Amino acid sequence: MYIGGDLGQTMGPMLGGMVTQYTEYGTMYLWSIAPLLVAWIYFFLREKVKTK
Amino acid sequence: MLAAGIINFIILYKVPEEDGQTKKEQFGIYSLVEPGGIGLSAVNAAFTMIQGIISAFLLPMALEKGIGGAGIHFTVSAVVLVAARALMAEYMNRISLAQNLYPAFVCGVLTLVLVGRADAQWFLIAAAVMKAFSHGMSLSLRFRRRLYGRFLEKKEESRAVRCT
Repeated sequence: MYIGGDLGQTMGPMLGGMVTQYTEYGTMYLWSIAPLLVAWIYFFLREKVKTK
Repeated sequence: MLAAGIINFIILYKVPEEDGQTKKEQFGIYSLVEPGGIGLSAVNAAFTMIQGIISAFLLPMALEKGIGGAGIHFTVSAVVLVAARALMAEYMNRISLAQNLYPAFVCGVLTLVLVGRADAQWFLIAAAVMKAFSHGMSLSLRFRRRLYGRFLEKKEESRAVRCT
């Protein structure tokens, strides 16, 4: 879990920096909702499978 | 030297057996990473990514947009995080992981929307509050218990198998 946390904190600014080369900071923040939504969907499906 | 000592300890660590003999613990990728926890670890990564992105780019964004006093974001976030954890810890440990994480996801999305659309200081303050809730709820004890509980059960099983 901690490795994941560290990876997120490392990869986030790196990916954000790559995105800001092509767009504004504000748009980059809005784009960074995408990984969170993916994690949300993953967790939702995981919980659904678990409760079956 | 510290790193060398830690590596040495990991490689040479011997688990005492019941009959008094020692057996070398097998070292491999599975002793570092718990495969069953990779999914939840990725969920945690998504939450810490918010922290990383905001820490790295909030001030340049505030300068670009001409928002003054952006540093208050971090102060508010820290204060709310400490207060929320102290006040809500008992309750959060009683509810399930899903009940903890779904509001954390909502707060995380709101954080990024507020920061992304920010054109005044109050956006950043509101985002700080949301970020503190998101971070606090995503790192609840339930999360750790889910991971470590499974990990410890597995350890106990393997130890029981070795002893029999």
